[in-house]
Parts: sequence; C-alpha cells; structure tokens
Amino acid sequence: MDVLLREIRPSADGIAEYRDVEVSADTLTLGSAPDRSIQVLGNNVGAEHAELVATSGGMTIKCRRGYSVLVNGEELSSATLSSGDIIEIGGNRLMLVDAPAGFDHGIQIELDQDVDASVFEGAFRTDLYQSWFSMRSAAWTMSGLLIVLAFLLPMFLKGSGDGSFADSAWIPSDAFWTSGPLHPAHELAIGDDCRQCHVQNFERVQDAACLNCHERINDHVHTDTMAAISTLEPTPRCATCHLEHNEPEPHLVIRADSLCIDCHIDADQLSVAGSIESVSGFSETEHPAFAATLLKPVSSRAGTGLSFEWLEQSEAISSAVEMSNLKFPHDTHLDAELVTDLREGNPLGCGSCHELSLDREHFVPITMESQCVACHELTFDPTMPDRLLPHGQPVEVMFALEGQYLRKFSDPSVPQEAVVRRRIPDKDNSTRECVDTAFNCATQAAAEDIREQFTVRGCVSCHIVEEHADSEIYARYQVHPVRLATDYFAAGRFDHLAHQVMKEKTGDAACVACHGADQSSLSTDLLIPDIDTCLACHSDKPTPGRVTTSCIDCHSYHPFASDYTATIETSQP
Amino acid sequence: MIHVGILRYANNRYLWWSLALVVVSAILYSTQGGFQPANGGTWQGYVLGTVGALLIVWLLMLGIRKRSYSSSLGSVAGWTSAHVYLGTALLIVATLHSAGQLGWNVHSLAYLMMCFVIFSGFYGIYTYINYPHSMTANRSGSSRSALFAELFTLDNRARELGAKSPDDINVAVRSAVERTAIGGGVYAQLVGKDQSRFIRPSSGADSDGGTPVSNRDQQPVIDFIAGRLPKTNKIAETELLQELLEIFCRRQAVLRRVSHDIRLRGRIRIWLLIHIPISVALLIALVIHIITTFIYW
Repeated sequence: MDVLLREIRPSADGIAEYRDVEVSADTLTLGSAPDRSIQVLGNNVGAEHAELVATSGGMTIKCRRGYSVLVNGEELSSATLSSGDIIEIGGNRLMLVDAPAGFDHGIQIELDQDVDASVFEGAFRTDLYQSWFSMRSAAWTMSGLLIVLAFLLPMFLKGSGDGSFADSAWIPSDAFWTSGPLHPAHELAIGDDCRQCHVQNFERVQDAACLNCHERINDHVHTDTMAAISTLEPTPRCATCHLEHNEPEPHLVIRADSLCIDCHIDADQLSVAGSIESVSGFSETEHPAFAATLLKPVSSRAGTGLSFEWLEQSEAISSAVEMSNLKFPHDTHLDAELVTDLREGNPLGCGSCHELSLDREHFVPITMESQCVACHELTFDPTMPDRLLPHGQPVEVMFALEGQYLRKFSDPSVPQEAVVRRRIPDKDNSTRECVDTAFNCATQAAAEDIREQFTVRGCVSCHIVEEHADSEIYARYQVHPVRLATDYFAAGRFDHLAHQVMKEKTGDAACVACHGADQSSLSTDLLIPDIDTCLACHSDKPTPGRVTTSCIDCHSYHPFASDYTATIETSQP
Repeated sequence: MIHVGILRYANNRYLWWSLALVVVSAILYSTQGGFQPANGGTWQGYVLGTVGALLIVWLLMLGIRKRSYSSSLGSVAGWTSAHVYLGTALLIVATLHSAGQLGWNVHSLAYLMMCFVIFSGFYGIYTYINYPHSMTANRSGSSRSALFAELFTLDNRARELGAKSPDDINVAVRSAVERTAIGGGVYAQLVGKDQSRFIRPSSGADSDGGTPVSNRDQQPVIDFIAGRLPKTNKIAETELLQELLEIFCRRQAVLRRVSHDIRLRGRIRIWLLIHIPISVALLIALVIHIITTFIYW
C-alpha cells in the first residue's frame, strides 16, 4: 500500500514547512534507529519501538514488548487507528489523516523540535548491552540445555530400555557420562549399556555384576580349606584391583603392590595366620625365602617288601633335598667329553630332556620311554636287538630274562655248546657251564642275569634297588618308585621362555645360570633357585640395572585352575 | 592505572598464591603413577578435582561480591586480582585433575567450557590492558557524549543549511543525516561495515526523484556536494554549499571517532558477554559432572 508521510516543521518565520515522503509498504517501522520508516527521537523512545500496519480500513499500531505509546492521550501497547487518531511518542505527534488522492493512507508527523544531544545519543545502539544478546537469557538457555540434555534425558528417559522413542539415537544417553573408554573386551560385551554394571545409583559397582559373567573365577583362597576372603575386613571388591574406565591404562588389573601388601604385611592378622609369612616387598628382608613344594617318599613295610606313599612337603630351598629316588648326575650328562647324543653324536643340552610346556612355565613330564631310552636302551638279547626289557615292571623283566634262557637252552637248533659256552662279558666262562636239564640250566642262568640286572649293571644304574635275600626270586629285588615333581612353586608363576635371554646369557647358559645343573653330580641336589637368584636381576622398585617386578608378576590373586594345581585340589579329602 | 593495579595488586600477592597452588598441585599430581595411571579417580585426582570445583565456585562469587557494595570481605580490586590469578591457576589444576584425558562426555564438556571461560578471561585482561589507552587516544581526551553532542550540533546545522539549499541538496543532506548508521547489533558494533545511506537526487537541481545509495564513511555525500559546487553560480549558494561541505567533513571526522569508539568498547565488553553466561552454565556442568560421577560410581 502507498502511504504519504507529511512532516510538518515550524520555520523561523512562523510558517509551517511541509516535507512529503512516499512509502510503498504494508508495515511502517517506528523508532529511534536510523533505519526506521519513521525515525522519532525522544525520551523513552526505543530503537525499534513500534510497527504501523496498514489495513484496508485504517492502520493498527503494535509496540514492542515493554514499550507503549499514547493513542489519543491513552497509554496503549497496541491499537486500531482510524483517520484523526493521534499517536504521541516521546514528544513527537503522529496523526492519521484522510488518505490524499493516489494514496491509501496519510500520516502527518510533527517531530519534537527540542530534542537535545543526550536524547540524540540514545537513539543509537552504541553498547553491546543494548543488543538483542542478553547474558542472563544466554546463561539460562545454556544451563537449561545442559540440565535437560546432559542430565535429565540420560537419567530418566534413557536406560528404560523398553525400545520406545527414548531409545532413539538422537536422545543423549547415559553413555555421555562415561569417564573413559571401557576395556575392549567389555566394550564388545557391554557397549553403552551402563546399567549392566552400574545397577544402583550412587552405589559402587558390586561384585555380583562382575560375577554375572565371570562365574568361574576362583576366590582368593580356597574356600574349602581356608576361611573365605570375604570374612576379611575391609572386604576387597573386584573393583579394588580391577578398575574400569581407567584411562589410559589398557589393562584391567591394577598392579600396585600395596593391594597385596596392605594385608600381607602382617600375616598374624590374616585368617590364615601361621600358614604363611609376612611380606612387605620383594627383597631379601621384605620377602620370605622361597619354599619349594617337594615330593617325599615315605616307605612302610608291607608283606615281604616295602610300600611307598608320596607326600607333598614344602621346604626352604636352602635346606631342601630332592627325593625323587632317581640316580641322575646332571654334570655328567652336560659334559660333552663324556656324553653325546647316540644318534647325532652331539653334546646333550637342557632341551634334550626338558621340553617346555605350552604354559611356558612347566615342563613336559620326563619319562624313561620319552627321554632316557634313546641312549639307555633296555635290549637284553644280542640275537634279537629289537626286544626290550619292560621298564617299570620288575617281575615282567624277570619273566623276560627267564624266557630268553629257557628258549636258548631248550631250542634244538641251537647247539648246546654254544649256549653253554655263551660268552658273558666280564664273567669267567667256566662258571657258565651247565650239565643239568635244560630247564634248570635256564633258570640258573636267568637268576644270575637277574641278579646282575638289579644289583650290578641294569636297573640299579638309575634306581635304588632293595634286595630281600631271603625271598624267592620274583620278590627278591624291589625297585624304589621314582616321582619327579612337576611344580615346585604351585602358588607362583614363572615364564621360562621370557628368561631364555637374560642379559648376555641365552639358551642353556641362561638355564644353567639359575639352575646350576652343570655343577650338580647328585640327583639329591635341588636345582631350584632361591630368592637371591631372582633379586640379582629384579627389584620391586625402579632400580638401575634391575627389572621392576610387582607381586602379580609371580603371584596370582585368583588361584590357578590349571592341571598342576588341580592335582593338589583333588588330593584333598 | 586501574587495569595494571589489578595485576600488581598488593605486590603480586595473588600471583604468588596461584604459583604456590600450581606447584602444590603439580607435586600432588606427580605422586600418582607407578602401576595406577594418573586420572581423576585416584585420591590425588579427587583432591585436585575438589580444589578445582571450590575454585570455580569462588571465582563465580566475584559477580556477587561486585554487587554487594557494603561487603567487608576485601576490596573488589583485591578480589579481581585474585580472580585473574586463581582463574589462571584453575586451568592447570583442572588439567591435572583430568590428566589431559578428553572424550565425548559431560566431563570433557565441563572442562572445555571452563577453558573457554578462562581464555575469554585472558582476552578480557588483554583488552583491559590495551584498549582504555586506545579509546582515550581516539576520543582525544573527550567523552563519547561530547562526540555525540558535537554530531548533534553538526546535524542540526546541516539540516538548517539544507533547508535553505536547492531541493536536490536538501534531499541529499537530510537523507544523509537521517540515515547515518551508528552502532547497531552485536555484529554491526564489532565488525560491521558502515550501513549509512543517503538519497542521491537523480539529476538536475529541481528533480524530485532520487535513489538511496551507500554513504559509507560519509564520503559519497561529500563527493556529491563537492560535485555540485562548480555548478552553482550564485555566491550565496556557493557559500552555503561550502559551509555544508565543511560541516559534512567535520561530521565525517566525528563519526569515524564514534564508530571506532563503539568498536573498541565492543571489544572490551564482548568477552564478558561470553565469559559470564558460559561461566554460569559451567557451574551447572560442574554439578552434573560431580553428580554423574557418583551416580555411576
């Protein structure tokens, strides 16, 4: 619509001057700002004070929030105007007049001629505080957004988990509260489902949440033999040692020694007092000397012979003696001058007999058949080199020897002379002559050979043989059974593979450095190192030239459930 | 000078306090480590976090202290000095509390908001040190009101002269005066271009039409009047135009100072428009940070 704005101002000679401006717009802006359609200056005139909207019948005036105008002397914030109405705003008068020819509306404007400089200055927005930006509303807006988006929505909408709209991706979830990334395995299993572990608000994660999945974990002590750890105070929670969201630590286990030492520093205070020693660190003075778990044979008379029972016994390494009942000089076997591999002719090494298990700590059990027999063959009949004496079955050995002589003395295809004159090494041939029946000759010759096997050159080389001279031949020789310990430190762990390279020593030199096998001539020597061997290279505190070691490098809070300890477990009544 | 006085208040007392706080925090931080990594969850982390939270609350209380004129809790200058130094120390205390770990979570949001508040404060200190001098120099020792009063006088004189001038000059002069843009919104006050316009009469002395064109820096209207000067042949009119020319050149000088003054004051205040609302929101974020930490303990 076309509007004619006629400004009337008095001139010096008293005759009013006119100035007409034509505006084509439906809405006219009114205020002190220079960009208004009608700029009016004056006290309490806002920069964007009001708007005049042209309608077909007249005009309406609408003030901004907080502003008002006088319409025909009445203070209003909005009004419908018709011809003749007078608007007063800060000393300025606007009057709607009948539309002049060619226009839709006419407004006669009389501006206040007494505007002073301060009012003039107020017409402009020259300070940031006059802008639309309000610190108060900005603070309220941001605070409100934070409370709703970062607290209320995650708290009360998310986690209801009913698949409703609250679970849509755009609604912020309690994952926004995470204090750091989860362990990758937990991330995979749990993801953003915080409530899997954080069951109760304001309550620390309870062990039950962990045990939901980790149901097969062993408690710190065996509940069937000792009081459960839960009777101790304060009760260690899973999270005492296993901290989640523990950025940037990639492991879930806190390796701090204090977690162990806090309780173990005074063994008398523990519920297992008496069975363990106090520990305050890893040094000669802070850690007890090692005690090895050994197998001790206990014999008792049973009928004409002995019966053996094996007991597990923990003994200080400094005084412990190996009681495997096996005769084995390590030094001889490692001496390249004396012993070489029968097939290749190479000197023997540690690995010739000791094969590391997959757990890198233990070794495959040593048996006659898998390790010794390669050199120590049990052949007994030169004419039949494939026949072997049955190892571990003394009576069967005797039967085998008897059978051999019976066959030889009674075989018609074998000349008696040859049998009788059979040359036996180191024996006077004359004593071997036999003029009796074939059966008697055979049993006599067998008895002599059996005696030699069990007491001079065969079994007795490696075994302790007890001779009961009065007993009949089959019960006369009793071989003491051999049991080799498989795990000297059931409660400790050790990585043999990692120790294959120790400083400048590698391979067998590394083995010998700790076990000293090349200096051991007796199988009663316990070749298990004591704490001082470990301390030569390890320390519990960062020390130059030492590798820092924490409690859990060797010990486990949760007992192992491996085969090695299982044997101990099942031996319990 | 007041602004320097805040920094050197009481022989840098709060600078030394803050340095001591930073050193103690750093020592506390360094006692973490070993097998348990440094983060907000260690006892050292909790201590640093508590100190940081108390600092934030105290720093916000400057707003209350400033308004309580009867307070006996030390001078506002002292508070402001401590606010500046302890606020800077907070940056380090909170960083040690977080151990530099950031992620997409409410904790990092609070930390980043805090950084934003502190760095906006740094900008504020920079403006307080540098701008008052530039502002005084720009106004040549007078006040902004004096500049506006001078402009008002010049405007009125220009209107008077315009009324006596030929119509085309009158239209140009009046429109140039009325459509002189000063200040405006946030953008206009800080970086906006001069949006002044004037109606350049089409052509000829008695033309009643015209087009609104840009009057940036008032130069176009000056050029217009100057261009009209050779076309006049009456001495009275020439004198009128010459005075108008002088008036508009003086207006141009005053307007330059006014707009520069507005821009400088805008810069001195804009950081507060960010600093204060975000620091209030930071308090909310801090509370959420603490509550959520313990909801999911």
